Amino acid sequence: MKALPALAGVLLLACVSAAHARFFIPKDTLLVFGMYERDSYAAEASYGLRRDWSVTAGWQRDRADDGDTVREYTYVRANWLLHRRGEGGWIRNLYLFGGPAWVRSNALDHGDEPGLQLGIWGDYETRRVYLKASLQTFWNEEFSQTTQTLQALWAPYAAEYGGIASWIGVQLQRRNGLSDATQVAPRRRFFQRRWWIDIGVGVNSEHRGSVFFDAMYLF
Amino acid sequence: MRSVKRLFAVLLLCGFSGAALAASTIKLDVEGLVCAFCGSAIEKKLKTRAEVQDVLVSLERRLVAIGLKPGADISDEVLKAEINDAGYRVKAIERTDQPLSDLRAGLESRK
Repeated sequence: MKALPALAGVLLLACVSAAHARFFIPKDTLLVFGMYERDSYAAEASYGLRRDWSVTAGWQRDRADDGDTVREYTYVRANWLLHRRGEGGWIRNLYLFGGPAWVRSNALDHGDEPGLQLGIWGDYETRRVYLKASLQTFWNEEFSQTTQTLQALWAPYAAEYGGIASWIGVQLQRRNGLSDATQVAPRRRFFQRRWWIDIGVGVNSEHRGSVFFDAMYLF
Repeated sequence: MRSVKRLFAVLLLCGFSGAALAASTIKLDVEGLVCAFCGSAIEKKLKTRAEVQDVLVSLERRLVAIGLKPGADISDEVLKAEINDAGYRVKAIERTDQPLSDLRAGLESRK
C-alpha cells in the first residue's frame, strides 16, 4: 500500500509526459504514431473517446546500451487529460496515463511476463514555443524502466494553418533501468494539418550520431 | 384581383429579404488555438455536419469560420459543444453575411 503514495509522488515530481508524443487527441479522432531510432522502435494507435479521455494500443522495443538486452512492450493504455487551459495565444496540458503491458525480454526468466505502464506528461505551447516534460514507467516483477524526457522547441516563424510549421529544438532524455545515459537530441519538427514529423540525432556517452525519426498522422 | 397580386408581391419581397438577412458565415473566436493538428480536428469535425459548406481556420486570428449552406444554421450550443469536443473553448460567436470566400481572401491578402 505504501507503494501507491510513493508512485504518485514520483509521477507528480517528474513534471509530465512520455517518451514520444501522445498529446491531446480530440474526440472521435484516430492518431497513429511511429518512432524509430537505433535502439528503440515504437508504434501506437490512439483514439479520442471524449474530450478528456483517449485510449492507446501500442508496441515498443528497446535495446540496452550493452547491445544484448532487449525489451519489448505490448500495451493498452488509458490517457486522461487532467488539465487543459488555453487563453489567447497559448495552451497548456497535463495528462496522466497508464494501463497493462505485456513484457517480453531475453533478460527475463520466463521470456515474457505481465507488467504495467504508468506516466505523466505536461506541455505548454504557443505558435512559437513548445515545452514538454514527461515521465513514463514500465514495471513488472523483475525490473522497471523509466524514461524521463524534457523537450524545448522554437519556431522561427509562426506558421498559419495549412502552411508547413517548422520547429527547431532539443530533447533531453534519460532511460533508467535500461540505459543510464542521458541522451541529448537536437531535433527538427515539421507539421502541416494532419501530419507531423520529427527528425534528429541522438547523442550520449555510449552512442554518437544515432538518427531518429518520429511520425504522426491524424485521421 | 390587383390587391391580391400586390399582396403576393409584398410577401415575395419579404421572403427574399428574409433570405438575404440569413447569415451565411459563422465566426468563432477560439481560445488557445495555436496548433495546426488541433485546427485540423476542428475542421474535420465541423465538415461532417450537413449544414456546413466549408470551414476556414486561422491560427493568427484564433478564428474558425464556418460557411453555411443556404438557409442553414447551427445553434450556439451545438457549436460550443463541437469545439469543446475538439479540445477548445469558444470565446465569442458572430454571424455575418460576409461570404467565407471573402473572409479567406481578406486573410490571404494580409500575408
